[in-house]
Amino acid sequence: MGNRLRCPAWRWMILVIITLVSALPAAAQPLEERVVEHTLKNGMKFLFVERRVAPIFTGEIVFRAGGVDEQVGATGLAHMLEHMAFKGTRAIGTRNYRKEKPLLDAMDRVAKDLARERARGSAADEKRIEALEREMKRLQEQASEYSDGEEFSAIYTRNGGAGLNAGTSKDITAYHVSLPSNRLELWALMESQRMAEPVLREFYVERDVVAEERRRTYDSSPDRKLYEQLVATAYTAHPYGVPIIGWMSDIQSLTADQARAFHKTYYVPGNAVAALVGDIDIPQAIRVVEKYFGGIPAGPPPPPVVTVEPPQAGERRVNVVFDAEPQVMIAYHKPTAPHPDDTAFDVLHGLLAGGRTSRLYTSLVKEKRIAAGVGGLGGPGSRYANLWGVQAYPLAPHTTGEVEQAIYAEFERLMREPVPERELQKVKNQLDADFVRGLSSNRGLASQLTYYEAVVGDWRYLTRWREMIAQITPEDLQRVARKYLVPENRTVATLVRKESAGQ
Amino acid sequence: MTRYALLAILSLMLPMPAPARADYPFSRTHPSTLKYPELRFTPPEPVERTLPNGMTLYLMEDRELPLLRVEAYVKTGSIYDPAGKVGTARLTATVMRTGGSERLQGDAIDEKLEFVGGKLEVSVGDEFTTVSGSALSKDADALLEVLAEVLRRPVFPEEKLALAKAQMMEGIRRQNDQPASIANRVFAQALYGKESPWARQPTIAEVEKLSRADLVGFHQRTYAPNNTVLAIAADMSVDEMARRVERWLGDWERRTLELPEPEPVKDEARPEVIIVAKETQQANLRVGHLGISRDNADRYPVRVMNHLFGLGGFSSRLMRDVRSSKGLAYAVWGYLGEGRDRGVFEMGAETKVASARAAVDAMRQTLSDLLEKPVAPLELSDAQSALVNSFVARFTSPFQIAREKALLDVLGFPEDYLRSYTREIGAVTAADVHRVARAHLHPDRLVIVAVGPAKELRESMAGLGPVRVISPDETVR
Repeated sequence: MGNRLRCPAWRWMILVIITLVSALPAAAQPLEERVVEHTLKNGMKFLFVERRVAPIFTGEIVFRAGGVDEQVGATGLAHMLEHMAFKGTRAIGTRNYRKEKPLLDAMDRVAKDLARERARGSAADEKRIEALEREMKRLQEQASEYSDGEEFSAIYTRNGGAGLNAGTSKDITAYHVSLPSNRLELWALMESQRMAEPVLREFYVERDVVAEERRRTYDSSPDRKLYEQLVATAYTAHPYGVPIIGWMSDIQSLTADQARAFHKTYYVPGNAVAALVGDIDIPQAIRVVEKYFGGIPAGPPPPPVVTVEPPQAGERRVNVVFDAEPQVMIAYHKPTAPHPDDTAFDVLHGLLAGGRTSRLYTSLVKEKRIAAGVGGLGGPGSRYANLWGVQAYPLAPHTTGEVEQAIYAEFERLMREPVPERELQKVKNQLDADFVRGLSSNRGLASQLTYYEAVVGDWRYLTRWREMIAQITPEDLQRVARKYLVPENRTVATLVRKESAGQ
Repeated sequence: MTRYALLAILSLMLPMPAPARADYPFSRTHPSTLKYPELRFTPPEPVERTLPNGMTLYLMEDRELPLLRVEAYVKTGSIYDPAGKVGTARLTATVMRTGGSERLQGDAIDEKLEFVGGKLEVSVGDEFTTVSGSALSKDADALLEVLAEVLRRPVFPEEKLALAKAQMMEGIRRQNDQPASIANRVFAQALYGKESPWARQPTIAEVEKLSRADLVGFHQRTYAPNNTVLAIAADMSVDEMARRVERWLGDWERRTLELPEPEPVKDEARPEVIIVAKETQQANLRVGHLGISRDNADRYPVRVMNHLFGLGGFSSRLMRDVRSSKGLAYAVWGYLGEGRDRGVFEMGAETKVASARAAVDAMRQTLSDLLEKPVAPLELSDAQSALVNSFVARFTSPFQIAREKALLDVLGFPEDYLRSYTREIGAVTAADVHRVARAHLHPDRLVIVAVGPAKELRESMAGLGPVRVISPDETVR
């Protein structure tokens, strides 16, 4: 049932980041030789890989635009726009755009008036709010005579689109679909059209859908709730501290105008990278993307994120009360790629939390038997300095406190004793095999190439990184552990059951 | 209407309106104008071999990457748990993997596999258990050796049993953490009955009592080559692959199996509303009744019906009615499921507590429309096109091809299922869809499960049938 959800790729952002980071090039077939690059005049970059396993290809477009690019008061905008990008264009999703357009504009005005009135809090004029809500409903009903917000998806589905979906992270927004190989031109038309001129119809109904998504994915899940608070506590200044989906009150105040402005700023060709992987003829694919994407006007480069998270000056702790069994998350600030310490953390992650022989699993689960499960966590993104840490579920009657101490004991051991060569080699071998697995699907390859191109600035980082991993020494791990895994740099979030979780 | 709206209309009514971004030339091009070259596709078939001991292999050569992937499906699972010993199948498979054999003990397996970046995991379902592994092809024998030891000669050490039991009990302790898992569990129990092999759940007290002898017995009764189907793909010839599988699994001895077929499912559920009290922001809703058997004659019309009703992504009726046009839910779905005995017909949605009733009403309305009105020709052809055109997506890697065929074998599908699939889907008529909907969907027999705040839900669900409120720790029926 995966494709009924619009952002499952990021549902487990904690784990996703780790998966993406643990990618090493194959020994057998050099990736560099299989990827063909082509950049349009407007600055949009395309990456092609031919894989003729079945008559199907995956198309993926990534914009270097995510939650981190949002402003205070409008959090969740990048994700909201992702939802809206499925609502069609002037040609798709409407029975009469000329008649539809003024109604969409009128809705924007009513939405702004509503937001302004509601923001007055207890001084708000309830009668006016009701009148505006009625007006909104009337406009929506009128517009529904012309709008068909699901036509865009229906066209893909009818044509055999599989895995039609998109995902928003703090760093990027990604759109992907797999299609039969004779539908390349369909992909190019659909994607270029929504990139150039999306029509944000049914915005205010979709905003309710996103609010439900937040209730479902964030507010109903102990893990997500705890992670949200962990990150919000670890960051005081940088926008990485805000959840991808946004705060509820912000979501409920977003307007189509804001989404249009975000689109205009960030969905420019120079800020986009696309990958086509599968049963494609590359010269023909280049002709097709030139034809459809070449006409999208170039735009100015989007503004940078200027805020830098100040160094943490002491441990931060947060408790989250929730109707669920206890768990704990611990996170440390660290630099991001291509900083060499980021690579050391990838190895450290495997050593401590990758698999059944990892140190934390062995100690907490197999030997001490104080945890039912333990895993590494990373996030919230990789464009800026980020976090690495550990998540653990205590085994009753053991407590989160005991689990925490056992985790610190493993960190201290790492600081004290150099990692044996064979253990280090094991982690490197695992990363190698994981990389090969990651190349085994069109989708996996397309998303890795676009991810590294968008986030690190070059898909070749995949290969460069392998050399960096090979060079990691036991001393590197010891140094990194001593430098970052210290109490002053740590944030601890604990899930506590409500005292009286009654009915 | 204001001045700005008027201007917008005017500018669009000018004879040759200049598009806002003149340089993008496809603003007005609708995809229906595109023509596609014909795509001829014959699903590739894996090589099938049967070993003398009765084990079936599906093999595919894959020269793309230096990787071996393998999955063994053993036709044993939780439906064979003895009465009062629910959890036996799961615990057996878990300790087979963590305990290993005499020669290759569990921890040694972990060390051996992880040093070469290999993986081997088990998962247990109702009807079959999967052991799946992957490794670089240079380590093919190491992986197959471990797979064989785990399947054939598990020793179930007490220490690993104790660990697995502790983890399983912790899982049970945590089973009410997520509202969706409560909804799924209670819904299944309401339809099948809490003692049914298709819905029962282990309890802490039951797991506590499971012993090594239970696991040894379960393994002896249900694990055998003549009960196993294996899918494998690697960058070596099919013969080479078969030779290696035979080296490790060829002398696994055929055994007489004890797989007592569960009692037929009794359809005793009565329409009612079951509210499971939990303080949540959303009501987690499941609405439905028992479904059909896998070997029913309506397989293809049901596929088409499910697609257009509630499984066809964003264009399905439930998605349009409940999500896109009303904004009531992010997640909404519906399908008529097939089971070995009986599947379930399920509609589901998650919505803020205040709109729980509106969501239930919207789902019931969508259901009643399906039964009352014929399916429009365009909607039918869209659903058929979607199913036929996306068929190739099932064959994107050689391993997937082997796996697909092996699973159909395990589930007992006809041998020509994949070959005839697109033709059969294409032959479904609107009358067929309408007929199967009316035959198998019964709006007067809906059981409604709602997880959320009891007080609000009790009020909003009034009039939908008898209402019961239970706590997440209680079981129903």
